[in-house]
Amino acid sequence: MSDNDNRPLFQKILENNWVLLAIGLIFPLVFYTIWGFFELYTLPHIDYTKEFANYVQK
Amino acid sequence: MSIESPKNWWQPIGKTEKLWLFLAIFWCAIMMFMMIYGHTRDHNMSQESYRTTPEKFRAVVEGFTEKYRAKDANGKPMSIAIKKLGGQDQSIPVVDARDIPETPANYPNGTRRSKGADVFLLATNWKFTPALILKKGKTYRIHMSSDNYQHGFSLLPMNLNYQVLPNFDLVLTITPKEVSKSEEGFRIICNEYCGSPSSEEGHHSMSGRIIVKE
Repeated sequence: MSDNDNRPLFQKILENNWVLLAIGLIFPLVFYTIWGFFELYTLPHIDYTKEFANYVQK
Repeated sequence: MSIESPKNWWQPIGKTEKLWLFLAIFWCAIMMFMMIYGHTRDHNMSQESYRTTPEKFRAVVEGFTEKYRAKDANGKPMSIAIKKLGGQDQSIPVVDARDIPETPANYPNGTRRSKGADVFLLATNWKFTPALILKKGKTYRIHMSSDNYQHGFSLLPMNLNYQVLPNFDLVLTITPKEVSKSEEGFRIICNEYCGSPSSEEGHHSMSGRIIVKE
């Protein structure tokens, strides 16, 4: 393949199985798993003793 | 490779492919704007979530139930019987939330994203407690959580469906617009499988009640 250096960039990407594997793993990992964890763990805590003090004994 | 591809197969995009891409992106744009339009027409209920713990949520539900427990004509605390398949009926306390005042929203200064009266609903094995009596036309913020497993909140016959998870307090803002046709009210069923320890009780018998009155 050393004489095929004039291949377009996208052809080089789509012909490289390892790059495709990396993209297939990284994209769902970032946009589903990592983003999902970030959304869940940045949810605010609710303090019932402050907002609903009538119902909850401290 | 067993089949050789042409040396440089990446070609400029053709006319048919351009048309196909244009149609696909155009349809995606239509669906995107339909979703935004749907929000203005109440197609999707806005919801907010907070982190909590089963112990804290159970404590606030018990306090809420004790404070607003409905009483019958004889002054005794009211309960409603949920019929189980075989075995004994399950008794759920009834809470009258008609007189709870609506609290204004304070977001973004605070966390309250909507105006409404706060009521609490706990999903546990195997019932939704307490049964709520709501007032027609009044806005309520229903806090829902579970104290053990993942449950599904499904309000029938509206078919409103939400996941109820332990460690998360889901707040639904709703305004009931019709009165319950019977004393039993609207039924809540669990639509996320949560266990079947016996033929008498389990996920299949798990339910709750929301009764709307004037």
